[in-house]
Amino acid sequence: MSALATFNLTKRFGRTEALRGVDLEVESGEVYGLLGPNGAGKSTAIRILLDEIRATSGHAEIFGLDTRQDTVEIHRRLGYLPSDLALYPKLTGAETLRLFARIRGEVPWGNVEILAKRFKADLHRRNAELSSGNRQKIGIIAAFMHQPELLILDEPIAGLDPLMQNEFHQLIGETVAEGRTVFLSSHTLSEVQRVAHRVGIIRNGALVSVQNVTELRSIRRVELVFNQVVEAADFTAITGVSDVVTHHNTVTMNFTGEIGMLLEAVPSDYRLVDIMSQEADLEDVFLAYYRDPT
Amino acid sequence: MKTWPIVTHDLARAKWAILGVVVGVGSMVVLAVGMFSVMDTTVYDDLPDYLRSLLGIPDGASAAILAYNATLTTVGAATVAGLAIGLGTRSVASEEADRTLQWLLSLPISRSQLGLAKAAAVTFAAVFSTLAIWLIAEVGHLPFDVEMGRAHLGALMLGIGAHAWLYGALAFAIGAFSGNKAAALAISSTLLAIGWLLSGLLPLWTETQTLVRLVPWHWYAGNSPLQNGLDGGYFALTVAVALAFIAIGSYGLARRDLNFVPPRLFQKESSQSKPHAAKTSSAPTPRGKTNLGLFQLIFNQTRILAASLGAGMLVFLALMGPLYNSMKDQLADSFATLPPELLKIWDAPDMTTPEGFLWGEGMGMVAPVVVVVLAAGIASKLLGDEHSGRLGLLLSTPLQRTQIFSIYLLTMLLQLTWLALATGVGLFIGATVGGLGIAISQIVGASVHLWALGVFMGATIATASALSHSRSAASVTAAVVGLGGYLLHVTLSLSESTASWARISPFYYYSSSSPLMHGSNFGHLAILLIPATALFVFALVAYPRRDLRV
Repeated sequence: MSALATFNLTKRFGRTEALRGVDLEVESGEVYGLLGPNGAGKSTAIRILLDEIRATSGHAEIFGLDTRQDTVEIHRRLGYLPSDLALYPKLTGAETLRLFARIRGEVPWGNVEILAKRFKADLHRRNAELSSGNRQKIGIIAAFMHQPELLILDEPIAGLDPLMQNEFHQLIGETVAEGRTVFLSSHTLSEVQRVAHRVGIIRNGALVSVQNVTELRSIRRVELVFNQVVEAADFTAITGVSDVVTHHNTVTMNFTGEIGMLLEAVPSDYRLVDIMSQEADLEDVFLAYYRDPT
Repeated sequence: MKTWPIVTHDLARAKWAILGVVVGVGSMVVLAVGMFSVMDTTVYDDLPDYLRSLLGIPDGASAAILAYNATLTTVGAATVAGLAIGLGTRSVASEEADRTLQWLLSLPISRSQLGLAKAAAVTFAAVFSTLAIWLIAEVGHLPFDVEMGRAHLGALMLGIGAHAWLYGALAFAIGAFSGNKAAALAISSTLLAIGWLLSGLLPLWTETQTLVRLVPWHWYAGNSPLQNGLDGGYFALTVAVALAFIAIGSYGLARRDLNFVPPRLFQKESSQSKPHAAKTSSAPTPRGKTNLGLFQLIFNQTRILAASLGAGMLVFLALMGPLYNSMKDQLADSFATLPPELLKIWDAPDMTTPEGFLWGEGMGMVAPVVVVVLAAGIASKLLGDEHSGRLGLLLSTPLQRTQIFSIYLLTMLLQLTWLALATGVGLFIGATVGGLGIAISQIVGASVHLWALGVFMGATIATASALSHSRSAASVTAAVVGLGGYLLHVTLSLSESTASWARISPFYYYSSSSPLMHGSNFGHLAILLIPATALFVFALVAYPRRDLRV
């Protein structure tokens, strides 16, 4: 059973279609990264999962339960870190976490202390006096303190310094090692590439691709230089080729497979002058989907 | 109960507001009882029974019991209701705007549970504040020689508490249903004010007497609970309506999308909303234009508040003229036999005259409340910009803090001027349409006195904002100087032995010279404006010297 799934999820705000028929599936025990630039629909999707807003059509399930009908049971088993985290300014970190722990019930306070020590969080200062990074630490502790089965994290490393980012990524690793699931949204490509098993790329409210990060590493970014101007159409049909970009006599593409097969498939009237090949990273894939089609 | 921590948390957040209301109203009750106890009250003893009853003096009670009517029945009830409205607004709508509500809802509680917990906190706040004021009122008369007779203080307080709860529940319901805190606050407060007015006005005509049964203020006060006890039917109706509001609010909260608009950064003034503003030029912006642009930015932030209050005063006072005409006979009958001391309770020289009526109904209490709300609202914008970080953004430009602060002060002065002007126009229309024969100089006098009071209030609130970044400091200053000043003026003026002390209140210089009757009193205006100027200068000096909230 998947930990989280959405079925044809659509959300409209007036005439604006923020989500368009999104089908997501996150397996138990994986880290799934939802990638997209600002305004792509990541937070809208997360807010529907949390039942803050309701889908115009379609529905979502977490642990096989309906996110609208079984909200309380779902929330009992998940941890959530919102983007633009807002805390009660007059409470200290400890008071905030104690309030949340009391509402949740059954939160071992020892977990809070361990996490606070790990992230060097100051729990005794008022939230209003904390920097954004230190406030984010309170949010991270609140999301993890009850050891939830599923963590939904919206831009989780915002404001954290590199050391704390590293600590956070280790925590994610430990969490999935225990069989728990992490669903995170980010526009920080390196973060997602580092921690996620799979990534979903969302563009203008639609899920345009789901990639396995391990498989991504088998994709090569290839640049071929010819002795004449090239046409993109001559390359897009080649098996294993995607994201073709041409510029005068140069064509750049993502390619999966043996380079020899690619060269054999190049039309014979092109004469190859130079070739460059390197491992593609998530940024290449990401930019390919976001490049302006016009 | 898992939601109990939410109830206690909300109550803890509200503790200073509750304490402020209890101490403010409670101390005024004790002060008023003290004032009345040393007054020569034989004038009341000689009144016919129906007038004693009209005034709210229960059988066998000292006339000093009037202190409870002067402080609790109107001002106290309105203050506790105002507290409940504030808490009802904050319970869902403000938390939603602050984005803490969304995080709370990620916990294993349903929206209905959250709504009920929030409503419970409003309920407890209304109960605690009412009980505390009741306790103060019960023991407050003991040091004085005051006979309570058959006064039903408990019934009065129960009515005040239920009435406040109803308005708190209304604000909660609007906020929970819409997520709009401005709507929750404005609609509830307006209905409270209208309710108070209608409960006094509707019974004056036979045609509208029955309509007063629809007004919540009448449900609580119509039976004169201090002398007649609680009207069980209306009390049950109040409770039922409050429960209905809570049910509606919880239902609405459970069924709508939460708002998740990110924190606004002067959104309304962005180039997106004003395409012409996006035009760029390579020429540097002249300094004067920078100041003008900043002024427009700040002015626009407060224009809706000022425009609403000004328009409200204009329409309200314009209607008062014809209203006086249609009821002057009833007024003459009711008030002809009242001794002048009693009219001081309404802060009006003679309600049978057009000037007295307009002052008593519109200028005596409503207009000062409106200027205080406007001045406090503008100060709250300054502090709000500081808390949200917008002020820090402004200060990252080559502008001095003093410049920015003085633009806020200028905005305040201009908006107060607009309010005084709108009030004057309202009085003029009312007097003209009603054919009341009030001279322009009298109307100008009343408007200028209102403006001067607003400037004084604005200066004290601005000074509090300059000294502290705490929003509570500004609102407490507004409440203490506004409410406290008003009650001091009313109560101290009632006794000859203390009348001279009324001069410590700014309201003395606002109203004691009866500007609507006699025109401006320049001495009194100077006494308001000279300290106000000094406070503005002090605030301008103090503001750059304190740390901004980070």
